[in-house]
This record gives sequence, C-alpha cells and structure tokens, in this order.
Amino acid sequence: MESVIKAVVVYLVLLILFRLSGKRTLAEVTPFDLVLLLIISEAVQQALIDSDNSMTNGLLLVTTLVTLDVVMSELKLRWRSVDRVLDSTPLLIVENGKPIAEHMRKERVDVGDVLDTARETHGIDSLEQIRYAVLERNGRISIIPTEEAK
Amino acid sequence: MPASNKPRNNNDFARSLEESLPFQRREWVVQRIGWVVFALILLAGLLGLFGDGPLAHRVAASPALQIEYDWLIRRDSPITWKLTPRMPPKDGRYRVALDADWAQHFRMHDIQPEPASARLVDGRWEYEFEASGSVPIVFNVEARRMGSLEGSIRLGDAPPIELSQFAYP
Repeated sequence: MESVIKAVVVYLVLLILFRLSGKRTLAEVTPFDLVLLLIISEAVQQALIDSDNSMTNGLLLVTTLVTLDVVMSELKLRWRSVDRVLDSTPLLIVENGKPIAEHMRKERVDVGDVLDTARETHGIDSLEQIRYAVLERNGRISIIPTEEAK
Repeated sequence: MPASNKPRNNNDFARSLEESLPFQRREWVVQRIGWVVFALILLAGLLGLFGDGPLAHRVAASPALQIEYDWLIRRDSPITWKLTPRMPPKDGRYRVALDADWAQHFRMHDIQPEPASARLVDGRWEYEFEASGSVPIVFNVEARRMGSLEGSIRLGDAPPIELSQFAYP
C-alpha cells in the first residue's frame, strides 16, 4: 500500500517543483545539470525505496509511476486546460528580429541563448535573420528564419 | 509566391503556436509565488521545522530527571533521547521505565550504556543501569510510525516525564 502512495506523492511533488521552476530548468543539459539530475534522482530514490529492496516493491513503484504518466497524458489530451497547467504553452521570444524583452526576462532566456540555437540549427549569426524564435514547452528554443536567411 | 509562403501576420502565428499570453502571465505569477514558497521551505528546513534543527529541539525536566529530545522528527530516521538523572542512584542502580504502548512505535537501536537488565512490568519496559553517580543515558531510536507519538519515561518512582513527538513521513 505504502509504495503506491509514496510513488504518487513523489510524482506529484516533483511535477509541481519542476513546473514551478520554469520551462528552462532542465531543458538544455549542461554537465552540471546532469550532475544535478543524478543527485535529485538519488535523493528521491532513497525516499521511495527506503529499506524495502524487494522486487515486489521495485516493480510496484515502477508500475505506479508509469500508470500515472499514462493517466496524465490521457488527461492532457482530453482537456486543454489540464494540458496547459501541466505543460505550459509555447512563448514567442523574438519577433521579426526583435527580442521581446519581457518574455525573455521572465523565462530567464537571453539573446545569447537564442543566437546559440540559431547558429546550431540554422547557421544563422544575427537576430535580423530570425523571423520568429519560440520558447517551446519543453524549454528548447525553435528558430524560424526570415525568407532571405533560408 | 505560393500562399503558404506568404508572411503571415503575427496574430496568426501566435494562434498557430497556441501561445496564450493571459495563461502565460498567470503562470509567471504562480511560479514566482512558488519560488517564495521554496525559499520559505528552505528557511523552515534550516530552522528545523521539518526536524533536525534548533526549533525541533526540546528539553523536558522534573526534579528527578531531564530529557533532551527532538519533538519534530522523521519516520525511519535516527534520533536520540538523552536522559540525565538529577538524583543519585538508588541502591547503586537507576531504573528507567518506558510506556510499552508508546515505546513499541520506536525501533530501539541501542542504549548507551547498555542496561544491566531489562524487565517487562505491567505496561512498561524497565531498564536497570548500575551506577554510582549521575551520568547521561542515551537511547538511540527511530520512529516506525508517522504522526503524533506521545508517551512517558520515568526514573525510579519519580513522576513520569511526558514526551510528545511528531514524526514526519
């Protein structure tokens, strides 16, 4: 009984924590983010497994987590409001070569991040060549270049 | 120029994005409130409101006995009860008794020093320590249950001292 409750609580608390921390938190994994991710998983794992190292417990936990994930994606498909609450919405951060300062500030993205992605994905080297840059729900930046830059 | 390549106006693009600024603004507000809550949780953690810190610590005392313990504890996490007798041993012994109903909710790791004997006396666990002076006795235990745990410890025939602890999950 307890493993199921624990898994549900941990799932929901982590969901809230990461949702509140913002889109960009673990979007692009720097070496340090990777370490952070490992530490987080280790910290949570101790709380979940506790001293019960049985296979039953492990499988029960995994089943609970996977089931929750399926339930969540079903809910998201059914209700758009749930989808937005759980996954947020995309956000325009550059429009016709001009950064939208408020949006970038609030999401902790800077022009450098946008240019990074522009260089990597389109070989673009200046903001003027970007028609739109969108901060996607998963925290990545998508670039739509201007006609001339294509 | 084919229709699909025609530069769309921004509203169209935003709509196709399913961007929603009103929602996004509410999200930012909620996130910032969340960050304040994170900070408060950190502060509470440092102060010991979740156990293990200055606010969690408590001392209970009677003329016969003083007990230092944490009243905010966590389940399955080691804690101590430090008993300091305030009266001399009787017949070369200290007798410490715990409510059995309450004490069974704790996993006893060890008692320092080891008691000379342990006895079960109607509803109590009694430990006897050979002693010629007053020295602290430390119980290293761990709560097996979460929630409120209330019981008492007595030294010899002196009135019992109530221990009230709350165990987080």
